[in-house]
Amino acid sequence: MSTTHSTAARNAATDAVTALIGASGNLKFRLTGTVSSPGTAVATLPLSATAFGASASGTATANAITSDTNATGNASPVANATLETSGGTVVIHMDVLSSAGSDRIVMTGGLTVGAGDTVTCTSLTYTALPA
Amino acid sequence: MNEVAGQRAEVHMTVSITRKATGLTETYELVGQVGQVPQHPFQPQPEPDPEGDKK
Repeated sequence: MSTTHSTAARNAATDAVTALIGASGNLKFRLTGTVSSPGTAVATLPLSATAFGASASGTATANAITSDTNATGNASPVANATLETSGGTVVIHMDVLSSAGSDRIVMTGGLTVGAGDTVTCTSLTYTALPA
Repeated sequence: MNEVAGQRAEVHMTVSITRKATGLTETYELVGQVGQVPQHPFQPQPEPDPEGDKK
């Protein structure tokens, strides 16, 4: 039995979650961990004062994200990413995969961030309840 | 008891890394999948056969 939600429900869910990030939260790329015990951060990218715009069709788009121009880095590949408050409370914890496609680069060795690298996130969308 | 479980939440992002060592920029499309599929706390029991006692 499939489960679907109305657009209004999807928007409400997405907006409720993104609102928890609060002002000036962060996007962090991390080694393996959990929401309650996140892994070591290898790059920290500050979010805008208002992290996301209002959800449309169940998806919210992040406002401008500041690059990390001097990443901490690590020899191990990035396994997780977190969206968290300015105080470090993790709101969204995710496994990070590489998506394949004819117009995309597939990472065969995983995403590894070196010390001093510049990490930029040019676009980010969040969907709480996919259609 | 009916159990309802939707699809996992997703984050899609485009990340670029400019390597300090070479100055080259790599661009990746990443998909973050949020949360885990909940495990069933118990296995559903088969319905009793209403004709079973009459056989």
